[in-house]
Formats: sequence, C-alpha cells, structure tokens
Amino acid sequence: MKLSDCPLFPYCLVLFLAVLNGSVHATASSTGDPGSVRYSLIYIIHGDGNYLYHAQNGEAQQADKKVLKEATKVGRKAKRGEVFIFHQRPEKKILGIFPKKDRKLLYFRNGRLVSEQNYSPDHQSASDNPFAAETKLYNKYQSSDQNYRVLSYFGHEIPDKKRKGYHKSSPSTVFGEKIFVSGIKTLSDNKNPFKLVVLSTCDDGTPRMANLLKDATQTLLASPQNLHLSHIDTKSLLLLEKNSSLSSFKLADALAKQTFSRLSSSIQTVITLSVYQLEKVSDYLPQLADGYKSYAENYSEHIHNAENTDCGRLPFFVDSKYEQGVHLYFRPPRFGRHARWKSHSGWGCKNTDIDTNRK
Amino acid sequence: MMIKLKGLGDKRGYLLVKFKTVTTDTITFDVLAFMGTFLDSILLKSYSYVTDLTEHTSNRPHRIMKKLLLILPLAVLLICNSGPVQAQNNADKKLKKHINKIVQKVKNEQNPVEKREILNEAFDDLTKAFEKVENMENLSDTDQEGIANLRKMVNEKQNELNGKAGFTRVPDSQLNNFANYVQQDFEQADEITISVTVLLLIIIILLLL
Repeated sequence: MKLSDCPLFPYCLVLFLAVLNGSVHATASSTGDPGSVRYSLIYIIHGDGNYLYHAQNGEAQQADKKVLKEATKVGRKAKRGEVFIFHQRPEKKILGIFPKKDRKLLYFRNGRLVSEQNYSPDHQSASDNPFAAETKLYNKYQSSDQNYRVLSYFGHEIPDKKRKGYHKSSPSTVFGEKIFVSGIKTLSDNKNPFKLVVLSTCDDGTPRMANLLKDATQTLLASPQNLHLSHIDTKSLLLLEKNSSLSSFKLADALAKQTFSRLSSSIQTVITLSVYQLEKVSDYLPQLADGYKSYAENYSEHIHNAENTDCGRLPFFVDSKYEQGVHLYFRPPRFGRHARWKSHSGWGCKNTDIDTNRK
Repeated sequence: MMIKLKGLGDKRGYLLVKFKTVTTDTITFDVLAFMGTFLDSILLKSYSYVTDLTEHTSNRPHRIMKKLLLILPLAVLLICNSGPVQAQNNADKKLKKHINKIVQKVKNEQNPVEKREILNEAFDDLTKAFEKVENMENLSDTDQEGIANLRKMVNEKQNELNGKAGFTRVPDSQLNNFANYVQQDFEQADEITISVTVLLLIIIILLLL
C-alpha cells in the first residue's frame, strides 16, 4: 500500500506542513470558566539580537530566555489576571526564502495557559508600529473586564534616533524611540493608558522618553544608564494578586527595589533604576527635554554612540526641581571614572565628557 | 604550522589566508565573496575548522586542501539555513566567550601578580588586534568608529588596572571583582557595532596572538 493511499495521508500532510511553518496553535486550557480578570500584564521580550551574558561563575546565559522563564512563572501564578508574553525571536527563513513564524505568544488567563502560538512580525507596518502583529493578537485575546494594565519591554537600548539594525534578522527595519512609543500607544488603544510601563533596557530613563510616554502610562520604570542584561525582576507584579488597586508607583517601586537588591549583590557596574511618576514630572518635562535638546545640538560633535551619563552633571540641568516625581535606586560603579559618584539625578542624557562638578 | 594573515583585498569580504607548513609547502586559500553578506557565515564556519587544522595537522597540505574542499559546500549549506544574522550573533558570542575565558582564568589564579598579568596580557592582545584591523584599507566609517570605541574602553580599563591616567591602581584584593566589572561593562552595553567580517578578523588575530 502506498503512503498516499492512506486515508489519513492528507491530514498528516497538512499537520506536517503546519508544524514546518511553526504555526501550531495550542489551546491548552481554553475550556472551563475563565474567571474574572482584574489586571493584565504584557511582556514584550526582544530576542532578535545578541543577548548572551555570563554569570559570575562563568556560566553562559541568554537574557531573553531567562526573562521568558520568569514571565511564564508569573503567568502561571497570576490567578486573577491575564498575562501576554510576546517573545520576539529572530526570524528564520526556510531555504533562505520562506519566512518561518518564529515569534511566540504565550497567553495565560487566571493562571492557565490558554494559547501558545507562533507568529510573524508585520513587516509592512514595522516602520510605523513595531508591535502591529502583537497588537492584533492582544486584541484577539484580551479580556474585556480588566482595567489595570502593565507593559514590560525587555531588550537593548531603544535608539533615540530611528536607525536600522536593531532587529538582527530584519536589518533593514528601522526602529527608534518614536516608533516604539507609537507601538505602545497602539497597544494601549490611545485612550486607555497603561498604569505602568517597565523599560528593562539600557539608557532609556531619559527626559525625551518620559516626555514621549507621558500620555501612554501613569508611571515609568526605566534605567537612565546601563542596565545589566539579567534585566528587571518582575515577580513583584504578582502583588496585584492581593491588591489589584495598588498604586502604580508602589508597584514600580517594588519591582525596582527587588531588582536593585539582586543587582547590588553581584554587579560591579553602575546600577540606576528610576521610577518616574509622569503626572508629577509632566510640569517640567517639556522644559527639561528642551534644555537637553538644545544642549545636545550644541555639543552634537561630542556625542558619538555615547552611553548615557547623569543629566544632573550637565550644564542645562538647573537645580533639584527636575528631580521631583523621580524615585531613584542608585549605586555607583565599583570601578571606573564614576566610582566616586555619591548622587544621581535619576535622568539619563548622552555623555559628552563635559561634566559639571556635581558629586 | 602557522597562519599568516595577509590582509584584506580591495573588495569587501575578500580574505586571503596563507597557510605555511614547516616544509615550506604552501597552500593559498582564497575565499571570494560574490554573495554579499553570505561571506560572513563562510568565514565564521570555516575559521574554527581552519584553526583546528593548524593545531592538529603538520606537513599534510594535500589533506588540508581535501578537507577544505569538503567543508566549503557544507558551509554554503549552513549559510542557507542560518544566514548572515546568525553569523553576526555567533561572532559577537565568540568575542564574549573569549573575554569570559580570560575572566575565569583570572578567578582561578591565586597569585595576584599573575592575575594582573593575565588581565594586562588580555588588554594588550585586544589593543594589538584593534590596531591591526584599524590599519586596514577600506575600513568603513562605522567600523572605524566601532573599533575606536572598543579601543578607548579597553585603554581606560587597562589604565585603571595599573593606576595610570589619574586612576587609583586596582588593589590586589579587588582583581576578581575588576575582571567581573570589565566583563559586565562589555556585555551589557551592546558595544559591538562593527561588521561581522571585521569582528571575525579581530577574533582570528586574538586567537593567533
């Protein structure tokens, strides 16, 4: 008997092709009473880049996979909420031509895995909205009765000016702050801002980023300088299990505190985690952002792929009024030129090596 | 057997590596890239094999050529599967692993004088590799800037290690932590902005030093 004569052959073939294309859609626990959803957590984990780092014992770690593991644990424990985990893995191509669906969504509701599916980025919309594919999936699954929403983004520094190459498997796709924020706003539906946005990236705790995000979230947790690749801990998001009306500031503060404690015990480089209450900072944010903008224009020739420094050390940073509404966890680096820093404004600006004398 | 790096030609990605055996038999292995960025993968996959050959083979040029002929089609197949993205990621990983190896070596060494020596040698090697690549012709502006940034970073660290340029010398008791600092600073900042071809050259030079 030939294989093609088998009555199950067409079904097997379809299944095989579906697996090959990575589009298997699992509905692991879609039956039963879903229960009420009091909060919604969205993880976007960028993995389309170089995220290798080494632990102190020399063991190699893949930062995005580590976050995925922790997010999955949070998903299983979030009995009163829903958790979307978007893992943006590099997009491979079959025979170098046909794109595979390499990005992955895990959707948990009330602690149960409801959907696990692969998807492709929406390349056509990528220059306007980098999260177009994620937004479609989010709108497909999101519960209608949630209202406390937290978005956490894990990746490398989001470039201040749009540029190519952020997504290694799609080197021609442009990406930058404005495009990122436009994607965030689409996810938040432009009228229902997030309670909290967590940027687990290097150098994104800046006046510019806060200014761009002020309509999209109440509170922002970000690092004004480099952040170690082991990322921000998110287990504290489960505080919403007990109190889903917890203030976004307290929630962000809990995340920052836990992360700071872990990093302080093992990391030798600078640790800066800032919680920005965007309503409070919005009074002076345009002034601060403009001050930095004209400063950066004046010293543009000194800024070449520069890492961030403390805005408080730059001449335009007038006084401590720019520190209102910013709660900072700071420890200077153990070595290097900034090891003697005693304080930090909580804001990051590109370094021009023209620091003032702030200690 | 030794490898002599003869330098880059005038085309992007054209690499000429000459293998010279002890009996003066010479094999020239030219990799010409007519497939744009695909070359990066060829180089990456070939270079580990080639470096293995240099360690384990002596005076067997024909055998080497035979093996190279075998590995090139395999490399092309791998390219179709992985492409330049994988090559870039793999090259970045190679450099991070190289640094990790040095850091672990420092930690395993008990004598602080030896620890400092290991770190100094590693910084010297990196600086030499950057200098060799910087002197190449037709290096793009991005690559030049990327290498200059890396070089500056390494220079600062070495000055601090030895208490130069206004730094306080890193105390003996802090050398392990300093090694961790160097590694963490390098890994977290996504510092590598140079092309995979140039990065691979740096890695090859580092392995040969």
